[in-house]
Amino acid sequence: MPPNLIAECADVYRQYINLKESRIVLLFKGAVSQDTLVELGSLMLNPAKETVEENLMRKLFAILVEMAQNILHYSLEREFKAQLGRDVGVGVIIVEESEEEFIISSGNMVSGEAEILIRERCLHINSLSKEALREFYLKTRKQERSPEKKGAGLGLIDIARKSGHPLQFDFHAMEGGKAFFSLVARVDKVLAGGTH
Amino acid sequence: MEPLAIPASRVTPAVTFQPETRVLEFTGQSYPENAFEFYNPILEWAQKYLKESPQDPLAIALKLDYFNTSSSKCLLDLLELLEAEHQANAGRTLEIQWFYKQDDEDMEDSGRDFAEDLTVPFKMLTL
Repeated sequence: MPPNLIAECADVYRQYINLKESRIVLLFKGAVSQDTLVELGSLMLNPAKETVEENLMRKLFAILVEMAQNILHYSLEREFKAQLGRDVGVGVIIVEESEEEFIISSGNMVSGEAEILIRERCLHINSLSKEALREFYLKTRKQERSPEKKGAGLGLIDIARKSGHPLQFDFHAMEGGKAFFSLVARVDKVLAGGTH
Repeated sequence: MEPLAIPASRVTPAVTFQPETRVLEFTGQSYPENAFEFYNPILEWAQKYLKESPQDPLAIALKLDYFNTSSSKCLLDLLELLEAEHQANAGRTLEIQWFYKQDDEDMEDSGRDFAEDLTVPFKMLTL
């Protein structure tokens, strides 16, 4: 066997061991179409069905959908899908599981202007109590939607509400004033009983 | 009004209206890529019904397992149509029925969130 092929096979084994030892249960990098999103949802939920309580599964699913649709609609990195006749956003989605919690993360490219708006919104969300967050959600939902936007601007608020923890976020500066936006939502396996 | 029968897809609910019962019913999940595109024809249908059958009652029954945030915005728009009609025409029989599974706290809370700003009769019902 040529040496480069041996090296590649060793890489596969190393990747397998790395993933096996990590807490990663789902990892996706690529174009997030609506169909892909549906499949990612099944991939995340099907193995969990045996062990994870339904209320928790619903929260995980909701977070995954909001993150994936953010990528689909707003990622600056786009890929043309011939079947759809239009482009969809490219990004990364990672689901990890430990003894105590699930961690759902997403990452995608954003513009400099979007970075400012997203940062502001995340900081505001993190400054709010659970009740204030609920009020902010309802207030935002009542606002007139802007015709050019596909979403209602509610995704990040909903992710924070479902997570029950502050949003962890970061922007990695890219060339041309762009940034890579990383978002991490943690969900405790033992949900705060009844009064979330 | 004609009956309405939109079959469910993987990401959108079944939407039906039976002229005999006068219930506009949503069943399933709602997280389409473009919620406004899915809900606009339903909003137009409801507007038309409220205007063209001014004496007839209308109940909106929501039996949803899950909806994303942009669907939530569209549902609010729909419920606000009913609210506006209730304010303008208090004698008309209008009702919202919010169904949720007994243990689904998020869906129960969502129902209460919608009910908060509405004066039109709003029933919370377990599935």
